[in-house]
Amino acid sequence: MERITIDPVTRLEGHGKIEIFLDPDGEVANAYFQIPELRGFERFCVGRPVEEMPTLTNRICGVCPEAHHMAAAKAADAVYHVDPPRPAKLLRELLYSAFYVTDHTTHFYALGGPDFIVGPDAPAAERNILGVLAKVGMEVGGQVIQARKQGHNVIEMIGGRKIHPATAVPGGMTQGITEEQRVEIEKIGRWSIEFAQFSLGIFDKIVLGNEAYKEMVLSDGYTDRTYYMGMVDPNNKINFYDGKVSIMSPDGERVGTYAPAEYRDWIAEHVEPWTYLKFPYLKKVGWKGFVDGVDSGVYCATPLSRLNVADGMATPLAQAAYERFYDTLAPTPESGGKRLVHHRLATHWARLIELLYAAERMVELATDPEITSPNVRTVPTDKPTEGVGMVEAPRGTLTHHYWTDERGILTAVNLVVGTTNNYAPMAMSIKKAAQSLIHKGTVVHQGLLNRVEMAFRLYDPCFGCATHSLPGEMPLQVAIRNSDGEVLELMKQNC
Amino acid sequence: MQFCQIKTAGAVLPKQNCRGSFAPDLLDRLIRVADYVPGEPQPRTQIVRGRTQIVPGEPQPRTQIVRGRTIVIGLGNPMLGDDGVGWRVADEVEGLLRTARNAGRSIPDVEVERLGVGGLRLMECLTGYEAAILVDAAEFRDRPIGEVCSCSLGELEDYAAGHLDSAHDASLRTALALGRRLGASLPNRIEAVTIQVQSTDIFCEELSPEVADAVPVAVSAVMSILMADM
Repeated sequence: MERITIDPVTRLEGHGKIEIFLDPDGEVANAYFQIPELRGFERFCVGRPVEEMPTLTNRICGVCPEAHHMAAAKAADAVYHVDPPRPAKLLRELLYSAFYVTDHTTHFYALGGPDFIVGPDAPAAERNILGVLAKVGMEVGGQVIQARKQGHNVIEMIGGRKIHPATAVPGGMTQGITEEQRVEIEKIGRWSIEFAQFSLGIFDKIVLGNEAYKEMVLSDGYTDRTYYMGMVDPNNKINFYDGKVSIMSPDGERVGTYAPAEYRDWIAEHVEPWTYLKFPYLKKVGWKGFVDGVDSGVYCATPLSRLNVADGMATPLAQAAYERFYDTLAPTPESGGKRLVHHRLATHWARLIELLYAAERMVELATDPEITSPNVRTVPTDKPTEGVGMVEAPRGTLTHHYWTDERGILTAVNLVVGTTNNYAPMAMSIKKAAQSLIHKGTVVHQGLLNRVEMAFRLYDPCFGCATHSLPGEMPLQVAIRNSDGEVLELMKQNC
Repeated sequence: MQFCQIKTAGAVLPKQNCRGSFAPDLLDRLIRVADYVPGEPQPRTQIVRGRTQIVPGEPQPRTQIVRGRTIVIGLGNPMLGDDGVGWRVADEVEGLLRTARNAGRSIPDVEVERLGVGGLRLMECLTGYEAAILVDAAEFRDRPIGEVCSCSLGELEDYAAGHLDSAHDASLRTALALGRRLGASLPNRIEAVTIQVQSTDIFCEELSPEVADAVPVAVSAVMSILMADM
């Protein structure tokens, strides 16, 4: 069997490796990705006070500290059975919205954008933010930097620090904001709305306006009909900070909605012998392998997934963009009634719609009459026990689950991070892209391989924190296979 | 007694003093490196690929304290074993500078920071400075654990061996090019001090013995750059 290795996957955490196995006829037999995984975080946390977790977990890696800060604070709220006052929740969500603006902006212009705007066949050295700006104008670079700078300023105003926020604590926040700060944040939010609309315009012009790119987005090689996961508010609209998790079937039927604390009733993990990574799947549907369809429990948790599970966006401009997204890519509803987009490369478009929503939400929150209230904390008084905190991280649903003794000292920790949710879809997307692009007689040149990487990159995976050891109760299934892929032994635990 | 054969101002340091913390006499010697007095004979500071050697007693070129606003940044994650070595070096450099300042010595305008970011974010953190020294854990191919390398950023043999790259935006090289084209005030000179590490994938707060031993060497390298003609 011939092996083609793409190493490293450029612009991804941890020097990933994608391996494509070809059969004797030169067709793709299998495609895998392998990532060196970080280990021992849960063990590292045990024995520490739970209130340390919001500042400890946000140092796992430098990419999304805000998401860990929020999930940890919410889990600590739950451990102490305390409900923060409304102004504290508003402040947390405001900080989180500013983070989303920064993160999604960066992804589009620096990571995902280069594939489209510079072109998938361009030399790797040109597929970066400089290549993007050469196409769209250097002045746009100034706006990207401004968006990031302003986002960091908002995070510092509310979170106390630019990079690793520190103000969310069990029961609320350690500080509020002043009227002067509120005015500044509102101004930044309004600027961000314009910037998000401008960015959607670029996508419209360069990607949707290019028939070749549009064809690639709609191609079967970048399409998988899986289940979808995302957090929604009581009106089934997307919410990044709080709500329930909704699951949508590949045929547009809402399978169910669950509270964060119920996640283990819904999610189990599958283990393969060729990687340390564990593959989450929907427990009620079951693991059927790396395949899509209603019978396979593989689910996806990305910006595209969030749009697919929601009935719409909670802000007007994002709602209009949402409708255009579905009118363009999925004019016909699935049999279950909901219009779904299964084209994975559309995740880049979905990310920009979320950018617009985050910017609009910033303004909504910054103009809430209670946002400057000093009532930002309910001091916990209950005996601590166990709690789950969940937010939508840019890279997928993020779950923190803590157990403590009666003093609030951690006895067990479990994290299911955003990227982990997408391990199976990523493996499938890679294989499918490879299958559609590599055939007998096809010369595998760099542009072609980059298209396989694009299948991976659209998930914006981050492996810095995608790691955990099980506390002993998570559902687990281990398949041991021989070199022909046949299962020799199947071991199950808690499922 | 074991010796780790690190030459600093001509002295060979006992190994147990190299690990984790500094002996008082080493602190004093390093402060003296920082305490440059124009016109007086200084130990010649020679930084070569792979290690820092300070050779006393030879004719000295005139050195010059770095001018302008300078930042020393320790890069890495202090929760990931050897990955935190950049922070440890930054801590020690900060301590030395503080001690020297408290002693009334003339110290260049240096700020010390600890970060876990690369690419665009790191570039943004460098704006407004005239010189920068990045201290980073590195995993170069086929280099011995604990080896300290000191060079300019442009001379770095493998840009992705440490934290200068970011998986989620751009390499520092691209980010700097972007910043400069946008007119950002970025350092004219960026130096890298790297420490070859062993383990960066298990959560713990301890350094490997060889990496802990390299901390004083890396501190010495940073101090030498601060005192050299930038």
